[in-house]
Amino acid sequence: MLTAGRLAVPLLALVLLAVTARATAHLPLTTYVGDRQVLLVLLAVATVALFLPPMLAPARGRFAVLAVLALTWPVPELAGWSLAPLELRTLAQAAPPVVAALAVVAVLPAGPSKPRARSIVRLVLLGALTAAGAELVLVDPFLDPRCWRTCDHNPFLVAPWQGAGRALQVAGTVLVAGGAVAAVCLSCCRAGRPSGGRVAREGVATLLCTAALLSGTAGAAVLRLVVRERADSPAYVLLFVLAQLGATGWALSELRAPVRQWWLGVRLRRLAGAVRSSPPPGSLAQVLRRALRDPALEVLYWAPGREAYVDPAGHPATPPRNREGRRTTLVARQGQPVAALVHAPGLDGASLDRTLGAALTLALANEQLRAANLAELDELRSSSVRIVERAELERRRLERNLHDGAQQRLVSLALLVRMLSVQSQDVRAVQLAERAALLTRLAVDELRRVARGIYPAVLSDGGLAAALLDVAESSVDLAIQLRSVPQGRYSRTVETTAYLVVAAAAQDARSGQAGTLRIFGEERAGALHLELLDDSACDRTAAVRALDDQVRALSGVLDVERRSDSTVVRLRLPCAS
Amino acid sequence: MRVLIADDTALIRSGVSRLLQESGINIVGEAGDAGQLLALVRATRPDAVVVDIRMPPTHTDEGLVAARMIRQQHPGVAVLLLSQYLDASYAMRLLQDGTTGVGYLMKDEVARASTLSDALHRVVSGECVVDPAIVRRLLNRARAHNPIDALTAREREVLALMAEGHTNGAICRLLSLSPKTVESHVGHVFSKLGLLDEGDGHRRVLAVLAHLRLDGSS
Repeated sequence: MLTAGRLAVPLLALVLLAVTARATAHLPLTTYVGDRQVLLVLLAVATVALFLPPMLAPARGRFAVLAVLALTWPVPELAGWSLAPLELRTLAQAAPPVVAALAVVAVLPAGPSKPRARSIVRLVLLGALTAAGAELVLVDPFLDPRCWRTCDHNPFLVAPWQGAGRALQVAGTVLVAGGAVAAVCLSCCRAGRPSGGRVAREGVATLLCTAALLSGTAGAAVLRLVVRERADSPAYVLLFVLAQLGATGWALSELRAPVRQWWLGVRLRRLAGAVRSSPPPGSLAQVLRRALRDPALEVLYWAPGREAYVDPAGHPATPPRNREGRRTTLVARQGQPVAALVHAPGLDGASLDRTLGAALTLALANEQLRAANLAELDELRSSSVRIVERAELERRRLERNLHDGAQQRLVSLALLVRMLSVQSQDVRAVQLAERAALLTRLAVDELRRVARGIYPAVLSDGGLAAALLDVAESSVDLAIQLRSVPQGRYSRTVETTAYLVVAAAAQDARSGQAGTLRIFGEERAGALHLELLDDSACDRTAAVRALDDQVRALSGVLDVERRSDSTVVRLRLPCAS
Repeated sequence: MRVLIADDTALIRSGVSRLLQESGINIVGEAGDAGQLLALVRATRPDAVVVDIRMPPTHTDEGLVAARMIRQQHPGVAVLLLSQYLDASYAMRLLQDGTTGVGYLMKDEVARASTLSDALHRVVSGECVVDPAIVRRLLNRARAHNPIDALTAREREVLALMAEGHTNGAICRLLSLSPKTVESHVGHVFSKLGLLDEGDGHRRVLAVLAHLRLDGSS
């Protein structure tokens, strides 16, 4: 949040900058910016850039240093303002070592709290105060043959000890320069630490800017002790440009982290909004695709029940490690795998994991729960379909065994008995054989009834329509009327389940003392619909209800409605082929 | 009479063949599956074939398919299909190509004295044979409005015999009635059921069976 104070700082800076520009514009020889317009632009850009970090991202403990640095940055140029009060010009004349010291303190990578950094801070502050103090109280520019920006008498002069003042100036400047070198070394050490590609590149850029900033400020201060400063001196102009570019670059690199933070905040808020509105499965991947600018990004979730990765809809997915030309970042929460992000190889996995943050990990964990549940449900559903299919196969196998095994043997037996009775001369034996033949025929009849109850062969040969016709024709006590029957062929499980429901409804109707059972069937909207209506006096629905699980396993609906003097059974079975 | 037998169980093949030989029927070959049967029919040109409906490889309706192929390719060869199924739909599938010289018999009837040879004689002479058990099942089924209730006991007997494929002459013999009486019974049956009298032709079997398969609700 921007406070009034933070707004005041840049406003003040702009005023200062305007004054500087205005003041030095017509005195080409006494400042750099008065000499070349492009240098003024560089100074303005650097000053504004230096104000951005303390204004946008006030780091704790560094805010004051950064603000003062930004404020003092254009001050040395005021020394060349001939219309200004002499006091101000003299102060500006003493400013360069202070600016250099502030720059050193500002760029210290670990902040001024670490012991090594603290000693550097002490060193440069001591140096800056010594040099500036000597300039202010001991040196009179009027007596200095090398004076450049201002050559008037020093109003703060305490004692005109020109030689001692010079000596203190040299000592202080050397201290500041030493601090600057130490600060650059510290930055080097930090940038030298191993880290990912993008981070390393950014570290090098920051280091270069830091080096330019410090060599521009401290270097110029040192040079001033040796060579007379002039606006047209290439060495001084080079150092001035270096200082401005370094300051601009360094200030911008300071902004990188807060800008990223802000952008992440924007994305997280967007994400939080998307998550709050309970998005459909897979939309989190959509959000990440947009946020990370990787349209092919995939999010796979860990399904603990399956011990495998699944897609947001819970379907099995290719194991994330085996994707060609993609990189995978595994996201974990409290040590448990949550998701795998399969993304472009250019995206740095470590920084992605950091960027995700706790909120997004939580959102991923939420969607993981759903994906895992969907996977469980999917598995459960297909396993129940498999159970129904197995039961169906088992029924057919049993029916076949009865017909082709037991029944064939019984018929063979009947033939043998028949031959026995033909060949025998004994009347008693013939009578026994006749009885045996009768019993065999009864057994065959019985077997046929049992086999048909298990699985009617006509169901696989002629389909549901033929099988229902047969149910109707075989009923001697209940009139079964087929008002309409779908003539198509469906999957074996659908045909068998529909048949079993009709057979069960007939059984219920019989035990409920119904006289008729009417069947209405049609295929509509990818589903087989059957409506079975009986006129049973008693409420008997146990046989139909027992098939509820089987119907559900095929994602169908079985609805039994008992009315005062009838029962309606409605069956809907998905049959899309 | 020269007859071929097709059944995948060797014991049944030999048993049926011995029983038929005792009735004076000449068995010219035995086949274990449909392919073998068709080859034997081409080679031996029998008067009739006795085919089991369930044969390898799937043991469902291979025999029925083979029977229909024989009817199409060798119209002179009579076919008697032995079936485990009481379902009228199988019989209808066999008869829909033509009712001359075809028969559908329940398999457990083969051991009954003379049933198989009687049926064979009938199909060879061009008649149509439908197992009485199938007709009985159709007659006995429950109906909401049963037109058969309007028939007299004698008329019901006549209806059943017609459905089994018997000609008027055969019905005369079986019921010991005069041809005129049988004709009047047949006329009554047709008018009471609301059917067109197709005459004594073999198409009559199909018309009667199809009518019996209706549930009487429409």
